[in-house]
Amino acid sequence: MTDNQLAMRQEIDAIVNRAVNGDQNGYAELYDRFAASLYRLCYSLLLNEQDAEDILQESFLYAFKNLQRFDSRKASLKTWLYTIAISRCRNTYRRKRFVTVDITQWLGLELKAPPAEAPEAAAIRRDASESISTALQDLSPRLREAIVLRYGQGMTYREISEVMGCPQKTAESRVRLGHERLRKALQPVGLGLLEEMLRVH
Amino acid sequence: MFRFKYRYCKVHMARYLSGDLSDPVRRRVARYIDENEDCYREYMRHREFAQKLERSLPAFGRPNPQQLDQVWTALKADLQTPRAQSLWYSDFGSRSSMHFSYGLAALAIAIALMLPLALGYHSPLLSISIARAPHYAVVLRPPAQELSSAALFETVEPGSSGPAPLLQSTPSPRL
Repeated sequence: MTDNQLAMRQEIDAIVNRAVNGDQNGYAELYDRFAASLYRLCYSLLLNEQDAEDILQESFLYAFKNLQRFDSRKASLKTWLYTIAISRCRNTYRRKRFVTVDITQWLGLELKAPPAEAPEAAAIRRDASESISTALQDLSPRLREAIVLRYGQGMTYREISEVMGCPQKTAESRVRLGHERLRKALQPVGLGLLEEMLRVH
Repeated sequence: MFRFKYRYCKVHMARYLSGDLSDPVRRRVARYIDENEDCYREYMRHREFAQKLERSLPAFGRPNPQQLDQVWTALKADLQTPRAQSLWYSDFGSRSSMHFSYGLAALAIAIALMLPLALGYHSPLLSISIARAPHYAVVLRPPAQELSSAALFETVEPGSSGPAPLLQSTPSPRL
């Protein structure tokens, strides 16, 4: 662990202690730090805005109510929060196993462009986002989790194995398999789309 | 040999790029990439795609601030409400309760399949029909009448309304 990571971890531990001791600002600070990345994780796994918001809320609710149980010696707060969110996402897959089509995606409500965005940029963004969404949806849930944690969240294999609850070797092979399948899935569309998405963002 | 090198590179490429390999394996992969054209192509392809994913996936599904604010408002309201009495069925969806319900479903299916067997019912489709041999009875008529030897013995099917037998043999022959 680098000095920077260590300092950040100590800072987060201090915020957790404040929250556990009843400081309401501590909760708000923790939410501000992790909500966006946790939402992205949930959205990338569930590919549905409403579900992602629900899981985000449930995960934070559980985490805040059980914050005194969190042990920073065992795992970082980020890993702990991700484990909670992934477990809830898995429950959602199970419940929705037979309902794979989302009506909001059909109606195009899923990809909201910012109001200031030009129509061309919005169209490119929509195309790119749809392609990635389809490619991710074609992956099995476990491979999708591995890919999103590795490339979407920039986690190490060790962290991925902790969050997914599997050995590190398994996490590595899931990332490798997911990478191969995603590359094959995006090849007909053209990898240029990803570049376009980057340009737009 | 070339295929082996290629496969070896392919298996270790992701960890090679993220710097997670041990020193000997990392050096070996690097050597193969230098020596073998297929390994080099695999390396370039993997690196290019991994870089694109690392840059594009964090942008995928980025929330807008209003969404996070809405969730925070709902979360604060949830945190302020006192915890409800937990009900036995409120935990449906958790891992252990899912295992329990799957187990229960499997048990119910097993019982439903075994019940007819236990009660002695057999499906006519599944059972093999064995042709039953007809029961024969030997009828001995009184010799007062003039009868041919063929008429002395006649077979009577069970249930048929023939003349009442004078003498019947038991048991019926086994086939």
